Amino acid sequence: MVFSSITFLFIFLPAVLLLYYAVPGRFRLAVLFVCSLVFYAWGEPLYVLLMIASVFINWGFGLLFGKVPSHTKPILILAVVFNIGMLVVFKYAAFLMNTVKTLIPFPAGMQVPDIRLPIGISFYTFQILSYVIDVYRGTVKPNRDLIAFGAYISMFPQLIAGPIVRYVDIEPQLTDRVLSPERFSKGIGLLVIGLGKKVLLANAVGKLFSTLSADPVGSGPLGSFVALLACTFQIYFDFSGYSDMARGLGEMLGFTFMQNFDHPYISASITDFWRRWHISLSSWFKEYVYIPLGGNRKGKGRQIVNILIVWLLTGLWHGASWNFVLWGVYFGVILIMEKLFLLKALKRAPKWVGHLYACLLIMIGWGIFSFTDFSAMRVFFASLIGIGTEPLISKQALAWIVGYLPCLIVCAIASTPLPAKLNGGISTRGFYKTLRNIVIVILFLLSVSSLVSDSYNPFIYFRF
Amino acid sequence: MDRIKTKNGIQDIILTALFVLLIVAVPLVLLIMPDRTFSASERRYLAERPSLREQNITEWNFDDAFEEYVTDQMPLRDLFVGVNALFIRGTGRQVSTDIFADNEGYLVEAPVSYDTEETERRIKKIAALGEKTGLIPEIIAVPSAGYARAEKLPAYLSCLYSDGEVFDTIASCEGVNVIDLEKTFLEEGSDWYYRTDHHWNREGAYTAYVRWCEQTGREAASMESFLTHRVSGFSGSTRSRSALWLTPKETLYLYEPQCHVTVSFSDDNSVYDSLLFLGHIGEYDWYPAFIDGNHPLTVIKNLDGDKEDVLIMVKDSFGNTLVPWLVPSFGTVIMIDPRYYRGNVSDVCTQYGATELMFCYSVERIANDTNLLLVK
Repeated sequence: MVFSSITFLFIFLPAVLLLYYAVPGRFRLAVLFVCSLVFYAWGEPLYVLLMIASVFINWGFGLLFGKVPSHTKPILILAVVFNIGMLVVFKYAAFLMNTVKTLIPFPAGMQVPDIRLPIGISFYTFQILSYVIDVYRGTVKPNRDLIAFGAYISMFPQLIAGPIVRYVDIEPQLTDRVLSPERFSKGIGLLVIGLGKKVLLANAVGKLFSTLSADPVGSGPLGSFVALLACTFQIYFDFSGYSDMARGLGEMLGFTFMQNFDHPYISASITDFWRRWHISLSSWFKEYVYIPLGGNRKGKGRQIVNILIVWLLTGLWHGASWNFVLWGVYFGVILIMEKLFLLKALKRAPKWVGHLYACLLIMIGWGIFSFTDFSAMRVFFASLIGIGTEPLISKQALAWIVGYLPCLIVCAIASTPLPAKLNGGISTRGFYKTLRNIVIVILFLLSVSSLVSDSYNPFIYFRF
Repeated sequence: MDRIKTKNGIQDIILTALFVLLIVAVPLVLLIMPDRTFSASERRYLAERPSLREQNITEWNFDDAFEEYVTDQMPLRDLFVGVNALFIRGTGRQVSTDIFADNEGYLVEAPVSYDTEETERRIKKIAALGEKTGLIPEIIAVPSAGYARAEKLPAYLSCLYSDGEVFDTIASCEGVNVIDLEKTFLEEGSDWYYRTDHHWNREGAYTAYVRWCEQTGREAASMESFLTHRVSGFSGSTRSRSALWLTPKETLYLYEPQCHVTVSFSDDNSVYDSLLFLGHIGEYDWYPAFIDGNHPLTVIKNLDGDKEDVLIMVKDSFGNTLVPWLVPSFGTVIMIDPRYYRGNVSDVCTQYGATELMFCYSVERIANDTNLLLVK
């Protein structure tokens, strides 16, 4: 089930809220756990068993740490191998075998297995890993309550597209939460703004991107450039919209999740960008991969290697395809260059240079990200610099772009901190708060209208 | 353990109450109200509630089927769809990829791309039929509303229409007699089309009739000499496709010649005595009020006309509103719609002793309809 669906907003959500608030406090986590399983099973009736098994086994690993404190390392290794193993089998097996097949032909009869990706497996596996590693490190105590642990892993607001909530951050909230109309209305605000970002902005510019990029040669270099811009906005509003919705739903249920995005498109460098984009993922890799590898404490050479490893993995995490690997390495290399000399140079240059530099590199990154097919990617980038295209822009592309210009402008403004500033500045005063609430209701109705009208609703972040 | 705090601002309580009311009201209405089976404004059947029992766990699509069902059954669905259309239009976009709203609020179909060779193939087929029957086929190709009303659209949209290329291709072909509407429709700048439908209106069809009379050496009858029924509240195809419900409904003029006629269809045993089928007024689609819509083969006998004059009209739905003007000039008019008729047109010509052969089509279909390639 996705948040931006009528089923979720008008069937699932009211049912969950009704149940959650109707039962006594001590049963709420059980309600949450069961509802989350229903939420997952709705679209994945088979793979929900995989998730339940994962919950059981990792809950067991947690208990084991407490039972045999003398052998925690083998338990950790076992737990990590199990969880990464699940991810490899269900996400990367076909990709790995296809890659091997191109190098060494398979014997007759041997085939690449056809395994469909279980939705959200990358997200919940990383949450589980944060739990077992932190229990091993002694940062948190193992959770004896299967219901609470299950509710944490399967919690529907962040189950299928994050943010990746670390157990250490959520642990106190599993036992103590505050519910109030104030939090609930804050949650509504976040949910509706997220919904609007996804439905009214991301889906709209997504249409522009898919149309223009379907025939990059025909669209011309300018058409392709706007396609890339549309794609840049689509990915951001799609993903950050989803994170906002997750946070909003969390607030409604009494949970606070970390902010996953901090206006990434105003970054002045790629280093800055990755502090603002998908923060929960970057901090996960930093905490559980980069620092354990030695981070920057073992000399420049080792640091560069560590950065490359982290970014190779970050790329792979985004999808089982070589373009994601390329995308990860692309950012790894840029980040290394920034560490070595570029950041210093950027600091000396006027501010706009950094912004322009960051924007262009980010956009090129999304170009790599969006094409799993390398020949299509090549055609697209060639058209960007005018290779193989005739006019600067085709009549058709121009017609699309003119129509979508207001959308693109709204996206550009919404990417800056301006709306948040406006919202923060007025939220305390009565009249403006009423106005803000009216805007929220209108946004909700507009989003619902769009959902009712439009069957075009693919969630980009489902691949992971 | 949860702690519930209740000391809060009235604003938060109002927003919370309103939101909860909204998301609870919808499922309640869904539960109480019986399911709708058909949407008149969309002209299609709505999705039915999917059954879990029919689901196969390895080919699971219950989630999609259920979403389709609740979306289709959403209370005030048409209102939501209309609000969305207004929002899209209000933010500078065209409501859909296939309907444009022009400066005067006319809803016109978006341009279609044409291939010169494909158009030529079709015209050659028509010419070949002419040779076979010994008649020179007359071609009435109706420009699309967006092309004819180009100046009412912003330049970045009007430049996308390439009907002109099709007209040039048709004009360059031999063995056919083109009744030229392009110039007339573009230059005289009147309203030849419905505001809410993709078809030409009474004036459009009448103008084509006048041009046809000029080119075939006939004297055109006046519009007033026909019996006219005026029906208000017509909402056509482009209005329902765009969901721009604020576009006012319009008046439909239904006209028939003052002569005695019989009408029969190849797929219906009855014989009717009027070109108009007013029973369709009030249905979800009113356009079939003309000649009962599209049939494979329609035989119209003008009992007051000269029995020797027989017209074979091969047509799409644009022909349905042209035919009332033509009937007084013939004893018999046979309408053939190749989308549904699979027999030989030349055989029909022989059987009825055709004296004239006409093709009345929208530019889009004369250039793209594959059924035209089967005409022989």
